[in-house]
Amino acid sequence: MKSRSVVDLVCQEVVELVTEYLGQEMSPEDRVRMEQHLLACPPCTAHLAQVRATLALARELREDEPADAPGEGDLVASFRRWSRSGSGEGPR
Amino acid sequence: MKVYKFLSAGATGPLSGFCWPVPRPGGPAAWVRAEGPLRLCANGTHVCRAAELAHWIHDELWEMEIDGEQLEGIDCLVVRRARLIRPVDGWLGDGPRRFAETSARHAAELAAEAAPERAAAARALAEDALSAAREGFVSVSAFASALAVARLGEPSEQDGLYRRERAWQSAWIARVVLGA
Repeated sequence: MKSRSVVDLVCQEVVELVTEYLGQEMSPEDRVRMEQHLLACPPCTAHLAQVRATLALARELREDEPADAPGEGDLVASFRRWSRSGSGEGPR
Repeated sequence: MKVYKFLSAGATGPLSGFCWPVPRPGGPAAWVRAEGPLRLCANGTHVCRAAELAHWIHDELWEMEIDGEQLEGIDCLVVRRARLIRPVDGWLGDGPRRFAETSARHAAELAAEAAPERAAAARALAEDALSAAREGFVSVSAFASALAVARLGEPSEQDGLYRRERAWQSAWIARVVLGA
């Protein structure tokens, strides 16, 4: 993101950079700008939540398990676990 | 120094999803402690001072108590230990909407005084901001207001104008909502 100002940051860029954001691969300056955009942009925040939930679910799939698609209950349970997490290390 | 934190409804971190312990009847909330090195946007509790409030607008505004190591952030402060003290009364009820509408009108006034070649985009954004404020989308509205003011400048000036308008918004919150 090359330290883009929040003034110039548009939703398309935010969507493209979500995995970089979640992977802690951004500079602190870029993360701040992205978070300031996210807080003012409900669609981008919803997209972030969806990607987070998907990644959390993917992490739970073991390689030796059949590649069946998870059921709705699995997705909901995973999302709830994610939303309750947060103790110890991490931003708050 | 008083510090604050905006949260989603239900005392939840808007981006982290962290559910903050709330004050108990007759007692304070439990402390939340970060483990590991404090890092901006990565580890630790992020709070803001009155002059930074507008960058982080959300549903609930809480007064915070902090303790221990601190790290200066960008528009924020990262701290080792923190707990919720009380919700800010002025951010309940119609306070957020009043803030958003006032911010939109401020942006519209600045746009009205601007040269025509710059004013059109700013006016459109200020109108969007006012519509969003009336619909109750406070953070969206305040963001659009600050963008409207930013668009009044040359590209090289826009970041500074945006930050100046956010500072104006923060000062309004401090004066009217916090009573500072």
